[in-house]
Amino acid sequence: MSVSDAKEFERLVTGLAHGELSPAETAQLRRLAAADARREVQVHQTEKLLGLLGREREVYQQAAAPLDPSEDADPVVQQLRRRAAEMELRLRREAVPSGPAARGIASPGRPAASRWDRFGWRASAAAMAAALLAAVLWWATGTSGDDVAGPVDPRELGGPAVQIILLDQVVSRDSPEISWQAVPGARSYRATIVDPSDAIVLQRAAALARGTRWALQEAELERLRAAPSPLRLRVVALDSGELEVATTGDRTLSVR
Amino acid sequence: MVSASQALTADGGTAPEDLLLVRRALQGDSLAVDQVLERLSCVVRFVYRLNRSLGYGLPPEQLEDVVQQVYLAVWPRLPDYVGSAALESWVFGFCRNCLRAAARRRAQAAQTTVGLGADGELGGAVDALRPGPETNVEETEGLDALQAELERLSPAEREVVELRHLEGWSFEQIARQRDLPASTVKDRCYRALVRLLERLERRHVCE
Repeated sequence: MSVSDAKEFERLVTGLAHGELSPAETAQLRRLAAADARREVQVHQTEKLLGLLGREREVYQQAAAPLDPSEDADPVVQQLRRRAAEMELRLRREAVPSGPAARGIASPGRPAASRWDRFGWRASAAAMAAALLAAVLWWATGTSGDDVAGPVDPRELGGPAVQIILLDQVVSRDSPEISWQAVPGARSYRATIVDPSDAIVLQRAAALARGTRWALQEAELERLRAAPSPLRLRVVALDSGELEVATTGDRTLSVR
Repeated sequence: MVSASQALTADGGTAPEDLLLVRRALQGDSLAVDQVLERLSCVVRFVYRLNRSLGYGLPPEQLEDVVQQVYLAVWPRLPDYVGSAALESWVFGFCRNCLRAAARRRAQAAQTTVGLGADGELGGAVDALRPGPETNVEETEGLDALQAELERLSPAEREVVELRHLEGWSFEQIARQRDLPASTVKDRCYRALVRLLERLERRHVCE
């Protein structure tokens, strides 16, 4: 191979690696490679590496695409989601200490303890008493109304266990948010949406740890729309030891 | 058509936004911690899908362990995230590694069992070694080797190869993002590919 051919070969093989060769240049590269076994191997190996990178890219894209409804309902996915939710809670607890005595990377601008902790147990007890009083008043007056939960709907307080009051049971593109009232003593909340077969459609754990609202992404709304109805929403409040302190129970969730 | 980079950042933001998010989380911003953890939910689908597409055939309980391992591996390494690709792309590498390691351990355990010749466990052991229905063993080994060798490249070389060949960016896009001349990016990418080729050849891949 002449010096000029060798230079041309190097230029073309670089172009091949960059994926920038025209058909004519590719043909020229093959002609030049055919004249030299070593260069032929070089071209073959480069193409093989590019093929491998292309396959890796495919694997990457397949794995990144949202799960389809049948995958979502797969018990294995459900199992993995549960483990992921556990890990979220664990890592969050480690990253953001929940009590004033704890050390870690809590933001200096924010109180480490929740509002309820700062008020102390007396405030918690007062709130519990107020909730109980509201329930008693409701039972005493026998008020009835429509079936939409409101911010102070006392029916949600019925039953022996402390219940979380849902503020939204309808989500839509315009209002893609689920929210609920804070529960005394709760350090975190776990919200789960399940389909009629009890398969988890969506779940949030750590992301809700400090908040009482869940803003759904567009993709999550789509997943809810695609899931079989009726969907049920359950919000569970957990204390610092991750014991359940309150729940909404299963509530029907409407998706519009 | 949705590009690879768009698809991979569909969960959250772009790489520069993700870097800011991770930095905020590392500085103790609890909202950022929550957002990062939420973004890590991609681990479930990565692990689930890779187990099928690469034919590792790990059973659910081992996949659960892999999910846990990925979380535990990613979290302490967050300070290493440099924002060269979306957070999900970065996490993807951890998923690949943890799955590969789990598959290797499973195969080794199965080989040991076969070696012992325990009749009762032979069936399970052989099953563990048997590739899944969609598996091309040679291809999976090649991809695993590629991943391993990508990790051995310098961060700068690895970044350019991943952005160009895995995320489908143009050299001009990479150059703009990194504030480098496109020719520098091209040279770096070519050098990285040559290095990859040499190393894969030693592993008898790309022969």
